[in-house]
This record gives sequence, C-alpha cells and structure tokens, in this order.
Amino acid sequence: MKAVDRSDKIFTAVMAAAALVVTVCCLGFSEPLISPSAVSLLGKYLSYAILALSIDLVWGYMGILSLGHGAFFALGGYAFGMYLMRQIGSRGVYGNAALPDFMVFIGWDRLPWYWLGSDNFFIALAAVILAPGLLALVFGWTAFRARVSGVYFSIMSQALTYALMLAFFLNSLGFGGNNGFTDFKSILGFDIRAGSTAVALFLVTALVLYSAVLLTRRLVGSRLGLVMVALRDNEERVRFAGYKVERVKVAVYTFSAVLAGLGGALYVPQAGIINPSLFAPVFSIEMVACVALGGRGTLYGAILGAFLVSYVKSRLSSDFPDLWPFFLGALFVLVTVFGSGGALNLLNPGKLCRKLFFRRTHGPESN
Amino acid sequence: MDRNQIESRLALPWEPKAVRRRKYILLLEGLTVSFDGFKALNNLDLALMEGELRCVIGPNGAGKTTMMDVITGHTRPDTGEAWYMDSINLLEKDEVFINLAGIGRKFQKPSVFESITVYENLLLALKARKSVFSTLTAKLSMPDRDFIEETLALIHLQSLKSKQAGALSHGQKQWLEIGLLLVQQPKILLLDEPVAGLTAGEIDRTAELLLSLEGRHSLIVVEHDMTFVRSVARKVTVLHQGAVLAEGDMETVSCHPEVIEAYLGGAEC
Repeated sequence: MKAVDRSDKIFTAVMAAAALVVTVCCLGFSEPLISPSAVSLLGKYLSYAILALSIDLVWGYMGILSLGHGAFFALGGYAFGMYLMRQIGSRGVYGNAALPDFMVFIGWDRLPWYWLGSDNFFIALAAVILAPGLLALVFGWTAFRARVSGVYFSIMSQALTYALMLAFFLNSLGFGGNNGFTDFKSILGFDIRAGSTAVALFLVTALVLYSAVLLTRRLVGSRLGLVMVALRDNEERVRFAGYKVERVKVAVYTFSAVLAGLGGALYVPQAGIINPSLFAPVFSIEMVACVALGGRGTLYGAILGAFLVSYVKSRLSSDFPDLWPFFLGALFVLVTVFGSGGALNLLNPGKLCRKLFFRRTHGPESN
Repeated sequence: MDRNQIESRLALPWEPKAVRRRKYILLLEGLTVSFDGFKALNNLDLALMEGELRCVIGPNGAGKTTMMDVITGHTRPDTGEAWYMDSINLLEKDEVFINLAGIGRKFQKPSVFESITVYENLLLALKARKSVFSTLTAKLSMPDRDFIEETLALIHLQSLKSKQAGALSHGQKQWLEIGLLLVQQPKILLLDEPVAGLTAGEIDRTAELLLSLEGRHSLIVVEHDMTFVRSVARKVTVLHQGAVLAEGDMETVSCHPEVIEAYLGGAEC
C-alpha cells in the first residue's frame, strides 16, 4: 500500500509542476518559451491519456479487451465539435449565421433536429456525456448479457467503431462527411487561437485527467474493484459468489466510455479538427498498444504509455514518416517481451533484468 | 440384508407434494437432463433435510456434477422439479438468485480468485448487498471483519491471509473455496470433490471441518475418496447412470450388490 500512496504523490506533483511550468512558460514571458501550439499538442496528449486510462479500466482490470474505444472518444469529440461549429456563426466562409459551412455546401437550408441546442455549452456538455454513455450502455448490455467475451467481444467492438466510421463518412449524416469539423473560431466567446485559451484548455484537460485518475483509483480500490479483478480471473466463480456479472461489466464499461468521451471533447478544441479517422480501428488499437506498453492494470502505466507513444509518433511522423509503422511493430515486440508489466518495468531495473534473461517459470493459471 | 429389504426401506410413503416440500430443505423429483441423447440425469430423486450432511458417490459420468449444475441454475433439466425451502422453484431462477437465496457451491476444480489475496477473496464473497452501487460503496463493519477472521481460522489460512491466492497449495485452495462459501452464510453447501488431491492429513482436517458444519448448514458432498466418505457420512446416496441406485448409511449401501458391481468393485462388505 505504501508504494501505491507514493505513486499518487508523484503523480500529483508531476501534474502540478506541468501545469505551473506550462502556464508560466507560455504566458509569463513576452516571448513565450513554449509556443501556444506546443501547449495544445501537450493538451492533446493529455486527452489521449484520458482515453488510455479508460481502456485500462476495462482491459487491465476486467480483462475486457475493447478494440473500439476510439468510438467513444470520437463521439464525445463530435458532440463538442458541434458546439464549436455553432460558435463560428457568421464568421464562416459562407457567412451563414445559422448553418455551419459544410451544410451550406451540401445545400441544406436548415439545421437537422439533432443539431438543436448544440449552440448551448451546457447542452453540448450533456451530449458529450450522453452520446458515448448511451452507446456503451446499449452495446455493452447487448454483448455482456449474451455472454459475449474474449476475442469475440474485441471483434464486435472493432466492428462497432468501423461501422460508425463508415456512417460518419457520409455527408448526408450531417456531421461534415470525411472533412469532419474544423476551422473553429472561439470557445465560450474566447478566441481559440489565443495563447491564454490554449493554456486554459491545457489546464482543464490536466484537471479532468487528474480527477479521472483519482476517481478510477477509488473505483479499483473499492470492493467493486475487487469484483472487477475477480471476474478477470474467474467469471463463473464471481457469479456463484452472488454478483450479477453483466451489470458490473456494463456499469464499468459505460463509465469508461463516458471518460473516453470527455477525453474526446477536450481533444477537439486543442487539435482544431475532428474527422472520421478517429473512428478507424487503427486508432483504437494504437491506444490499446499504449496501455500495453505502459503496463496494463496500473492506471499510471496507461498515462505513461499514451504520452510515450504519442510523443514518439508525432516526432517520427513529422521527421521520418516512413519509420512510424516500423516503430509501431517494434513496440508490439517490446510489449510481448515485457509482458503485462509494461514500461513501468523500466522504473524497476531488477524486475526488467529478470524478465529479459530468465524464462517465466510460473504465472497465473488460466481457467 | 438382501436387496428387497433395502428397496423397501428406500421407498418413501406417499404423501401430498406440498407436505413433502415442507419437510425438506431441498427436494429434487424426477430430474432428467440429456445432452445429445445421453442422459446425464435419468429421473433423479433426492431429498435433503435441514442440517443434514449427505454424501453422494458414484462412478464417473453418474451425474453428480450435472445434479449440482441443475441445483445452482447452471443447467436446465428437460423434466422434473427442484424445490428449495418449500416455495422456491429452482428451475425458474438464475445462478445469482439461487446463490443469494443461500445455496453455495464449490467446484470440482478448485476455483478461487488467483490474483487477489486470501483475505480479499473472502471479503468479496462475504454476504452483503451485492448490487453494483452497494458494492462500490461497501465498507467493512466490525462484525464482518471478525466473521472473516473466524472463517480464516476455521479453514486454517489465518497466517496466509495476505498471500496471493494463486500462490496457495492445492489443498489450501480447496479450503479457501470452502471459506468462500462459508462467508456467504449459505443454507446449503454443495461441495464437489472437496478432498481431491489432498494429503492424508489435510483430508482429516477437511473431514473435521465438514462435521463441524453439520447441523448449522445442510451439505451435499460429492466425493470419490471412500475413506473420507466413511469418516463423514451419515447417509450416502449412490448415483449410477443418472439415477439413484441406493441410499442409506454407509454399511447398507456398501453391501448393496448392485452398488458393489457398479462402483465399489467388490470386497467392501
């Protein structure tokens, strides 16, 4: 328990230091040491970390490998993107105060019903939570009640996100087709390109990530957290201990989806764009790789992994675009070698050496 | 004692169903389960009194595990009835309901939660409200804490309570699984081969444990180890090909010619 408390303290210190450094370096000098675009990039990584955290909760603790969690991230993003599109107002290319540019372009003369209220920040916030939450509730309930598990669930979750990607590519769906939403002007009346807005968004994202970690830590530390780990070990036994396994799974899965959606909502204003590529299975799988690399079932590992992978990805894909797929491949090899311990093992050299030079002699028996 | 005598002893006098149901805590009547034409259970009857310790023996494939599957709601029979505590029709309920109603089960293969500690295993199984929300907010009360400690002492795992359950020996896992049942405070314990793979010393301790539970709980113990069955059994039911072949105390059934032929392999009487 001591080590657990220590990691909480380290995390709190790191987050506080990051918030302070970013704020001071970006706004404290006449010539900013960290440019607003770099701050937004960091904020984007934080939103990925929220997604990775939500994946770790269902995969690391309950053993449910979701390969479509990007769908919830993207839905949250689209829900908030609608609000940002409405904020543009008459500043768009066509100068239409009521309709976003892409609707004018495809010849629509009024907003479809599901866009009603999207100009209200609080309704948008509710949509950010409800859209992924409801989808996860319906999808999870259907799948878990039919006792779909293991690789079958992974495939279904991938099919779900793929289907959504195809749907969001359609112009007629009313979400901007393959261009998605972009060219945002302001958020809550503030200029979205201003340095202070970038810092504020970064701070909000950091705060959401921090609260999400505290919340999930309490969740996995509760008796429900024990049930989650237990049903990863032996689902049938949990049922015979009197727990309604399906309900536990659906509840945690839905909570995780809402978390992912919040991450997506914070991603959009900082990335400045959202399009159907976030629904692509590759994105979800990359995020799962982040969790595996960082160390599943640790929460902090997921955050570390998300940062590591996104940083290396953005460096490699700008400097050596051809190398990125090779790196991703190498990543999978590393993950396999290090097993479930992930990158957190790097902080523990003794354990790392044992893993590298000795075969595993015993492990959890599979049932 | 010849076969007719035993059979006349077995035959229960006719009585209205409602009366019979009230007399027994668990009453199985005419259960038949077929898997692709193979009858795992064939018109099985079994009646368990409150507080009784019943041993069920029989060769492999006799239907012992299938019987437990039916009682716990895991398998639905083709025909027959299963009543618990007079009014609960087990065939209409699911596993979780049946478990919460007071029927606990130990599996044939020891199944505990390997990646959490012994103590956490018991904490998780503890009798409590088990909805998602009340599990999330559950706090351990003092009586519950004492109860877990008592159970730990009973299953001889007190000194190992902080150890990961996956690291326990086979025998300790068997005990832990019995502990998982006990903290649920069930009315009926179904134990599938509780001494399989145990050392002689461990078997004696298990026998002691089960005898101490008799009276407080009703137990159905399925076991192959005849020495063990002899040491705990008051009443033994012999299953063969999905039906009851004989029922009575150990001496009676072990002298039953068909039992000897089907199972004991002679020379037991």
